[in-house]
Amino acid sequence: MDKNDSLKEELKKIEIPEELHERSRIGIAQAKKEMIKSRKKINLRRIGIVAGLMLAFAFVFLVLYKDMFDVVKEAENSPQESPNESEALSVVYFADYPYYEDFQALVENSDLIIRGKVLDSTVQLIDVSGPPLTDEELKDEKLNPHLDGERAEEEFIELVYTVSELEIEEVYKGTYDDEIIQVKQGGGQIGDVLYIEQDVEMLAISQSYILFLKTFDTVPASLLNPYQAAYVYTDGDIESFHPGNNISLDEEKLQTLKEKFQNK
Amino acid sequence: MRLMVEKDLMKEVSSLHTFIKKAQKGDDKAFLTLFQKYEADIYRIAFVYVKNKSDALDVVQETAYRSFKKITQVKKPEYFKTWLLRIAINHAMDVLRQKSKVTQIASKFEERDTSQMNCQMELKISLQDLMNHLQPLEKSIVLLKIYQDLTFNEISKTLDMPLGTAKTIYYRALDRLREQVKGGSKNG
Repeated sequence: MDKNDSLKEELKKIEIPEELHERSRIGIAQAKKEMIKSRKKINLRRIGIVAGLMLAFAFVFLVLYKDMFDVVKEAENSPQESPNESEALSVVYFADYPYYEDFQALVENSDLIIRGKVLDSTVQLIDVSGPPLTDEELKDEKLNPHLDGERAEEEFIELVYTVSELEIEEVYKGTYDDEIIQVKQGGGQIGDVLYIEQDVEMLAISQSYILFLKTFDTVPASLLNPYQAAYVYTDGDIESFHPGNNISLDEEKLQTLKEKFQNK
Repeated sequence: MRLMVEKDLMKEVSSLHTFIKKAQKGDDKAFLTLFQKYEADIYRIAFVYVKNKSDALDVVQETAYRSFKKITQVKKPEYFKTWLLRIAINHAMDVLRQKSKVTQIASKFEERDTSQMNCQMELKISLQDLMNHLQPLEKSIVLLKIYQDLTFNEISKTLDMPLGTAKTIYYRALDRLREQVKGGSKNG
């Protein structure tokens, strides 16, 4: 037994009290209580984006004592205006996305994989309600994660997005005829209200990215999720855009993709 | 074999990532599950500083409280454990300061050439030596190095100090303990 093992053994002899679990639980419960109390921003976890935004508007109303509809109307009339962010009221919301186990799953679920350079971005209200889900789609947990196979009521879903325009530099999977593609990300500032979707970091203008996208007929494409679907591309160097991304990407993988999907 | 270990590690990091994401969205149960994986280590480390059960439990509770409140700061799941230990060590040192049992250690550490040191020195460190003869920062580094098997690089990040300083303090602590052991032998 070396010197390190002997110390480890001695440390392990420190008896663990029975109440240890309980003390951990108390500490966390106390933190949770204070977080709920002090949270000025609305935590909309689990209730989905749609209900979340409704509550967010209610929050705006309660805090400012303004007519909620005026705020919305003003916002719709001037979507491109971006007053000083520090003066804007922030509304934070959460959205759940599918999480991909590995690179293969990420590729399989992408309609389009590209490298592109961001030319510009704008904030828009976009109706993403789309066509109703089929019975088959309703049972797909990825498409309908919270409803357990039940049908949601038909709804009009207009959400705030930052839409980036990218000049396509390379296509690795899928086909795309135009040179420019629009990619939307949740959040952005409309009027006096800054909408922040937790964990979403906006693509930066003039930067190139490799993106794993879902495409739609009537609205801009989306990243598969905010954590795993974007990589920063700088002079041949590829780096995950989100620090929590566990899926690595390199030029070799991209070339393999290109060969595989171009041969199809 | 190595591939399997790497695969297991990736799986663990991926599962850790999922739990951290849930906790960052306010899921206290997910955070409790995570925290309980490390609470025994945190308790034992705290005990080495505060030397009694009651204060060590207070450190665990406070670490649980502080870490959940700051969970959104965690960007890389693989550093979650060292991040927790850092919070625990900082609080344990706060407790000691409050009780005025500790003298402030010098903020400047003399850098020295650790490559010249005899790393193979025979040294049997007892828990009592560690608790009684080392200064708080020395304890932190020895505990992280020996008990938690962290690399010097990880230790320097955990305790927010230069790599060379972490090495210097570690070897200085071992020197101090060696002197204690020698002194103890002579006297005994």
